[in-house]
Amino acid sequence: MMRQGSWGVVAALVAPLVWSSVAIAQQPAEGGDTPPTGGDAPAGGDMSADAGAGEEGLGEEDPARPPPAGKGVVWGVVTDAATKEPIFDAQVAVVGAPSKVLADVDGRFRLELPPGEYTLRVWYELYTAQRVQNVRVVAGAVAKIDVALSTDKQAEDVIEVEAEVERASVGAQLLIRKNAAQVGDAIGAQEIARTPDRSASEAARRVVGATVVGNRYVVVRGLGDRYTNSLLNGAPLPSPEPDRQAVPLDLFPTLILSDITILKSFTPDMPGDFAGGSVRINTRELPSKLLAQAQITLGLNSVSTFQDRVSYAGGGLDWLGMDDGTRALPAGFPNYKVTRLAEKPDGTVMSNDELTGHGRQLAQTLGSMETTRTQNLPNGSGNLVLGNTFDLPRGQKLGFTTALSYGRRFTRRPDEVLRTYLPPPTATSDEIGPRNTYVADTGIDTVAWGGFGSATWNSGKDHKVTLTGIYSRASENEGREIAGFNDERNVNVTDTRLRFVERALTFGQLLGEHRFPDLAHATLTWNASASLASSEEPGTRQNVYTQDASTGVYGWEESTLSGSYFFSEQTERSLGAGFDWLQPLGEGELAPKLKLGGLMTLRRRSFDSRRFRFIPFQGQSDGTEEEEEEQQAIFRQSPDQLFTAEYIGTELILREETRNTDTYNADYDVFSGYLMTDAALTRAVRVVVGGRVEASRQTINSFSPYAPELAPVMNELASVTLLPAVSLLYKVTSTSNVRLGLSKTVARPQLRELAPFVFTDYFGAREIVGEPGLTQTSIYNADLRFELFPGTGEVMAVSAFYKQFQDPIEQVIIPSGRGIVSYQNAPGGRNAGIELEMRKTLGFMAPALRDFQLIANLTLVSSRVSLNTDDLGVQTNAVRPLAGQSPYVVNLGLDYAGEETGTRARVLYNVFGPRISQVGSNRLPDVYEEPRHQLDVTFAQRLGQHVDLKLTLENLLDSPVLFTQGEDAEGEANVVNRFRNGVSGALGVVITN
Amino acid sequence: MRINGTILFCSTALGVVLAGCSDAADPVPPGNQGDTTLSGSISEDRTLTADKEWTLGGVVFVEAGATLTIEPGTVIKGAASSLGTLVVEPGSRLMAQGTADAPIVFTSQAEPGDRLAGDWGGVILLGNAPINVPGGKAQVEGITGEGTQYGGDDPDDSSGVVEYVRIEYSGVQLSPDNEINGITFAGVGRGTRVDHVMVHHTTDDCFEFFGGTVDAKHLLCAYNGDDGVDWDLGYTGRLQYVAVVQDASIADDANGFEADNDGDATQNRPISSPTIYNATLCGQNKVVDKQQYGMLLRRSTEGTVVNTVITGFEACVDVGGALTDPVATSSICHGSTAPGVTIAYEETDTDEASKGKPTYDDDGGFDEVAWWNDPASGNSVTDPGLANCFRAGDPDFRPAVTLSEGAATPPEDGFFDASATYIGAFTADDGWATGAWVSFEAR
Repeated sequence: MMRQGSWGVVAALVAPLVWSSVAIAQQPAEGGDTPPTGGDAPAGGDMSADAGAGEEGLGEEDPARPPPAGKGVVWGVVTDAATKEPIFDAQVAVVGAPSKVLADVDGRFRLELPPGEYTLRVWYELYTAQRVQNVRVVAGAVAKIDVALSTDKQAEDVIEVEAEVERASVGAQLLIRKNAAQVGDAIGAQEIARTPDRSASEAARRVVGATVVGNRYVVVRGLGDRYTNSLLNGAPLPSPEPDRQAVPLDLFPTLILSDITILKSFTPDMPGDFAGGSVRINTRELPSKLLAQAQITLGLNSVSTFQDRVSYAGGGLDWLGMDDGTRALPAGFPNYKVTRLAEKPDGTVMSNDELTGHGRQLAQTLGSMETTRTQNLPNGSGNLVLGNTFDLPRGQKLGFTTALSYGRRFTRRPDEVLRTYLPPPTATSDEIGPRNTYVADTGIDTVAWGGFGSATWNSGKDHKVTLTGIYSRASENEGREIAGFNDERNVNVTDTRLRFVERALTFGQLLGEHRFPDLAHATLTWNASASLASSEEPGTRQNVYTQDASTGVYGWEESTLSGSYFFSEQTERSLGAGFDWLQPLGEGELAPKLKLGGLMTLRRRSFDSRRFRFIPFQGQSDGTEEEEEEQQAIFRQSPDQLFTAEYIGTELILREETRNTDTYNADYDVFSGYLMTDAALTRAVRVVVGGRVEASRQTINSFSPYAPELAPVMNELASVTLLPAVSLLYKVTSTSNVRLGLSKTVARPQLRELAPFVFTDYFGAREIVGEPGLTQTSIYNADLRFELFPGTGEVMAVSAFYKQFQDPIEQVIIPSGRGIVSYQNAPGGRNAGIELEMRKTLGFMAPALRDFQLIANLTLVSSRVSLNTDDLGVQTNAVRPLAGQSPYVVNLGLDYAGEETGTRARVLYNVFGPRISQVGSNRLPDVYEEPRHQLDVTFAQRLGQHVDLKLTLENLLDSPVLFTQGEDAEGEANVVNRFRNGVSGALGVVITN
Repeated sequence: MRINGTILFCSTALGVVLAGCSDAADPVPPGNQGDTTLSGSISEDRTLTADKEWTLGGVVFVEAGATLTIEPGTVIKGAASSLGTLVVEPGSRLMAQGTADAPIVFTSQAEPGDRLAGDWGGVILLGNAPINVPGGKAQVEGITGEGTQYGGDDPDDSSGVVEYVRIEYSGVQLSPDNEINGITFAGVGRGTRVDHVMVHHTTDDCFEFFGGTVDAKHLLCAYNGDDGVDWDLGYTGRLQYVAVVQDASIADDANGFEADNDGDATQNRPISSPTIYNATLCGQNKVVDKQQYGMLLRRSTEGTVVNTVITGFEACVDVGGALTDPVATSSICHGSTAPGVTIAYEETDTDEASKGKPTYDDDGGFDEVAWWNDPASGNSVTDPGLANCFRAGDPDFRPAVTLSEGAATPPEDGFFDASATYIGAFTADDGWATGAWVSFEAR
């Protein structure tokens, strides 16, 4: 079972090697002498690079080429004075003349002018404009003038200054957004650095319309993670989660991010399996010079730090987020079914003695089943970044960035309320009564670490190849005690669980960008990626004790949960490849562009689990009273006294309860191709029209390794879909846009939703059964947005959107003894919403407030899904919001950046509206996750040249995590789950070279 | 569209590296385990003959339209590894008509002497009779697929005949916290004939009724891990001659009757309301750590229990839920084992913190003792003289003297045997629980 660790290593080591050879084979002939460095990643709104401004684009020709007859040429490269990075889109104007050009991606500009003496004005949005005087142009001559723009405040324009312009900065993000074909929002690395956020999932919360569920999954515009896809540098990511397609973004430390962009409207050049948003994670690009950074942070939490948490004896490598084998099945443990009467491979039947042996071995190897207490140390994290770029012969460059990060957090969650409710007993009553009433005490030790490496090679001016590798690992080591009243059994119970879950992602990608000046400046980008996502839950142990009501004594309870051992492992391997070809049709600013491309993703998942538990060895007692009293005393002992060699084989016997469907394989392949045109109808109006064809196939195949005579249970869903899209960009003025987008997208059932067999997500949960008849959901999207970019780093935007869902997949409850969770294609649903966004410097109010910026965004959504009323069954509501949909999401922030003092501070407030977390049945209301008000403060101070101090205060309001189900007679909410995360504070030191 | 992704995937070098593509990784194809192993679906009429020993490999479905006939004297064993279970889908029939001398036996694969409860699954009958779930259909937990939903609008539906059938050592867990009952009747209609059925040494309930209207006579339940007879989801059938004896070595919550209207205690209709005459319920006859009631009637159930003996439980009866409204008449309660309890715990404690204690008022003030002792009910607290009922491994349910005093006469409605004017399932010299079809063998 435990092989995927080595697979990860193989994938990490071998994949880049294989690609390297592929890359070398594919490497085109070398080009000229001006390498493009630090160009835009092709992900996201990459078309903007070519299609944005209404001014004359330079194209990709050699700017130093000879001038036309009678004219002279001035060309050069605009760079950042500090970083030496080229400045894309810098504006070069001739003072007093209409000639104006924009620098290309490599900062290059070219002006063809009649002979004479000129003054050039070079300007870019985040920089001080610069005048270059006495530029002499001679007919037939080519003059080179390089301009370095500085971010210093000195010249004629008062411009708010940001740091160096990469994709990472706010200004760059806004510029990209301004010119992109899609409706989208982003947060760059600099922005993230001003938050307390440590992982991509936390940072994504800051994007307009984004919320994060369970600190892990991103939900866009309140649509569930079903309607979100995730791409890393343009490659679809596999998920290490058994039960969802969503990628847990907490696997990505913010350190390796360049930006997170959430595209909310569809253009044909992106995978069409989303409706809320497409989350693009882009990793860091190359530094222009040696970059070395180290950071160390120590943190405290008001609930957890220095308090005792529930824990248990773990393994020696827990601090590395991996089990060292402590929780693994014993060495030599049979790989066939270990239960009574099981036929062994040799054809004989397993004897009770053998079973006793295996039981003793399992109990002894896995060790204690009891919880202890451990004092929580402060939380800590650290990271290292190293990067550099080297010049190679013939203008080639080679650069790299590497990062290592590690963090460990100790959490204690005492007094967590867990309750379930009984529905109204009569049709005329609305009152719901209490069912199970528990209090949980949980201790969690969370480890996350990862490595990131990226190398870029510029073979010449027109070609760039980047190899990226990521390894990320996270674990949660959890001890949990639940105590309370169980209605089913009408007893008080205690339930103890020891659990360790580890997830890892290995990702390798080779990415290329090529320009072909001879082909009308066509560009090709391509990428190939391989990844391995795994999740493992070794040796989960659980025990239930129930209280004898008359004596008050607790005794061991024989039930599924009790005396149990659970092992599971999932791996998902994924291969992807794609290319985009952008072909300008003709020369000139209004020349339409044709873009075509393809993407292929192949995923292979395997899931494997085994369940064991001890059951009483019946029939051993002769029923004498003495013996029975003795037996009673035995079962009143604690787990570590009970599950011993003394009783295993006499009072207890091991039984493997692995089910026939506990092993499955699943495939998910998507092949797609698209064609689109991007044409400027006028200088102000740009239209993108096109279509994408996606062919997908999902299969799931469950088989019992123990009962090969049983036919595998399988299902397949295949479809070919055409996804058309039109988007219109109207530049009302140079600082404002109107956008309109119309498109069709899809949402496919998740693998397990299609599976015609039963899963249970965790012990004690409701059964979940897939619905083999599910079809994919079609979503018709309309987006309208008006955006205004009043000043540098400022934006105001108003958007309206409408989404019509056809056959949305919704959770339903199938009636049974306890109710089974399943899925249905509801006939239809819709979402209509408005988004408002503002990012405004407060200098307009008073000059003293120049360094303050207000950040506000608001999303309002009205959502409705209608279930099939003919087949409503026990569903409480036939019409309700889509599961997981919040009616509002608000982010408010005040940012201060005092450049002179090196002080930065930010206050952030975030809240989401109530959203359905679980649908109700039998007239029980739906369960809602209630709004949670979160207030975070970050304060950073630069100390000299190399040192930064960063203080973060998180969750200052300590608003409880609260799930409710309707109200009681007094109007009090019925609490289903409630706990507090506590207030966290952390102090970090960043040392930069 | 079909694309052979595996070939595509494996044809790349990376595929080989990453996925370990090779034929050897493929699962073993389903094999035919010989003529006597049943697996998958039975879609055409089929007969299991007594001259062979049959095996249930995995969950075996008798599909709608098909009839599975089992000859008298046939032995069917449930496979252990694959959780052998028989599911008779709505619209199909099981014709299992044994005789007293040649019963049909569903049993463990193990050798006699090594058989234990939980060695295999059980027998599940699904039908089209009404259940009280909104929408009228429900799903059996633990099994999936077409035809596994039960419930409908035909109270006269027939799932066939189950007669002189013994089910033993069953009750493997199909899904978490979901062990299969000896025999499950889910939405089964009264056109089904059920008579002389015994379940013993099962990990869960002997007989469980999820809705439906099926009637049954001569049900024998011995040494079960959970309840003797359990009803739920609007069961409205009739039962006569029911005998339960519990396993003194089992430390679990196990009741003689356990009754719900539904798991959520709603008043969804039809309300569970069976009519039961002539039952004998024998408990463990000792003080146990877990709750054990002769009758646990709760969650809005109704029901009429007449001519019933309850003996040797912690308490004879417990009513749970404010809307539970049962009737018990002409019955005997005896030998409650909890200290100080005769009929039922006095539930006077209303402190929330006392939930789970037997003295906690969980039924809105329903007074079980007064209810039992209501003079109009004709119930009594007296020794029925059933000492041998608790005889380990060899119980005898018959009273020393037929308990005619105070007994009611069952109605002449075409089902009940109106001559059974006595309390309990047996007269002093009854012989229905003897013969080859009965076994109490512990192993």
